[in-house]
Amino acid sequence: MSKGISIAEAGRQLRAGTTTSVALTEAALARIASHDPALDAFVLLTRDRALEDARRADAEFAGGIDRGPMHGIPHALKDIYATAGIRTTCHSKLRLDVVPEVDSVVAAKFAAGGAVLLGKLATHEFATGGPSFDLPFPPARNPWNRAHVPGGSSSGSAAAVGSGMVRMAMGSDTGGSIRGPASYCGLVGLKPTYGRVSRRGVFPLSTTLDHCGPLSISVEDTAIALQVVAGFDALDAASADMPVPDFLADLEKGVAGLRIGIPRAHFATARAASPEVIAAIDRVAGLLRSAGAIVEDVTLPEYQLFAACGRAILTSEAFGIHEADLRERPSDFGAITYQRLIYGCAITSADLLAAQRLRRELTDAVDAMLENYDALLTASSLIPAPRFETMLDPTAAGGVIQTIQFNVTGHPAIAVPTEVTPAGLPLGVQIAGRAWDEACVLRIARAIEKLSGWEDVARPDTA
Amino acid sequence: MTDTPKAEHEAEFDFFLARARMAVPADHRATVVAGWADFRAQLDLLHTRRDATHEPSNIFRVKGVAR
Repeated sequence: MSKGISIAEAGRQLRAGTTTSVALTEAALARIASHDPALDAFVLLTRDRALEDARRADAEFAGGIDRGPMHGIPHALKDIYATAGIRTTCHSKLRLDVVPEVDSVVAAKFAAGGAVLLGKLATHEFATGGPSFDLPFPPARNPWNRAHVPGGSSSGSAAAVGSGMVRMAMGSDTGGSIRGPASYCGLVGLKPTYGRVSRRGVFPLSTTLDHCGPLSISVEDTAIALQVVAGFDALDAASADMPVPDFLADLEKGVAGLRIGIPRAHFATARAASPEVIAAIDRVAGLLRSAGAIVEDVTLPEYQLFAACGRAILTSEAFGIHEADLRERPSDFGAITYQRLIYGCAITSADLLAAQRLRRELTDAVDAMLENYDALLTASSLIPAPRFETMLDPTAAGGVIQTIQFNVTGHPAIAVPTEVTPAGLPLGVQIAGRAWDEACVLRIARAIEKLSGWEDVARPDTA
Repeated sequence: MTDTPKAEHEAEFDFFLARARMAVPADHRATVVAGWADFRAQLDLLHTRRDATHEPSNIFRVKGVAR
């Protein structure tokens, strides 16, 4: 299939009157009808709401009202984002009857911006337990090959965008749940700086590691979505009152003169790393050098420290959220979710204190590195998307993505697709940057998108 | 941790479960016990850095990305 028209182009056509929001929405609904039965990306389709949103957008354009870059554009939300009057399940038996009264901040921002909500998307249970077949809804599948996982936990978001059902969907990222699925499905996935996007109304997994961000077809689409959702929220304790720049302004500036470090030991010494992933990173490094960037290997603290620190904090915070249900309704959790959460009962105050001390040390190390470099280039996933059967053993499911380091430190990080393996699965890289400098991360990602030829790669047409 | 007998791992985890007043459903137990050693090893890794650089007063301060 073609990649379809970008969000920016759709916006231009809406404003020129050469298309309508109803037409865009009906096309999206038709594609969902034809593709979702094989991919299970949506757990709830809000067809009537979508068409109502679209008709309102068309009427507003006709009346000269312009609500911004997502006005009239279809989108979808991971089913942990609260949506007023629309069931929000977290893909869990424990919340099948939950209908929020109030929108999450992100949902409210899209609504205020005139965007069209197509529905709610599959996730790993409570943004952690999956892929799994013991939940109320089936797991989403990879649009490049439905025998392979789409990654998680933003599995439905990746499957929906990767198959062209929707141009952009929101995910959440606590240890890589945006960047991992983006890598597996050939998408751009952005975890903004911690505090950039409000998490209020998004069911938490780990409050000091959770981030909200978009998965989309292109870097430009990603920048547009971030522009809509970024900003201070006094009612999210982690939200930071920082200026929101124009994320599109520097996209086309290229990488000449930028300094980019590669923490090579992180991925090159990882037992799970596939040679094709390492080769893809080296090819990107070469492309960036050819475009004028200075690219050098650098040394950060070993990845296992980031992983241990992140897992201890995540498991502890998640256990605190789910403690009552783990005690009173343990059999209502899926097996993988239960396993990941129950270990929280064993974390001592000394463990958590050690993790918090280590977190400061690791954050300082990355900050220090980024005083000399504009960004870091590293792996996102260590392998192309694995098949379902290799992921269903929960004791073997970890260790194949390297993303939690930037949840631990809070730095912005983006997964960018670069090529397709001979087996027909996408590969990509990860770029991380200085806190609050998503603009630089997006700029480098845009350069990679162009230099790698990814823009010319045909996307999967069938599931 | 790799040298710790499996039974010791299981007993240790059962201690933590009892302390939390929790019981693992029978159909989840094998999976949970199987993954415990890996999790325990990651916790142990947190306690391996004890030189002067990692002294607590050098680590805790109000500074950072958003915290």
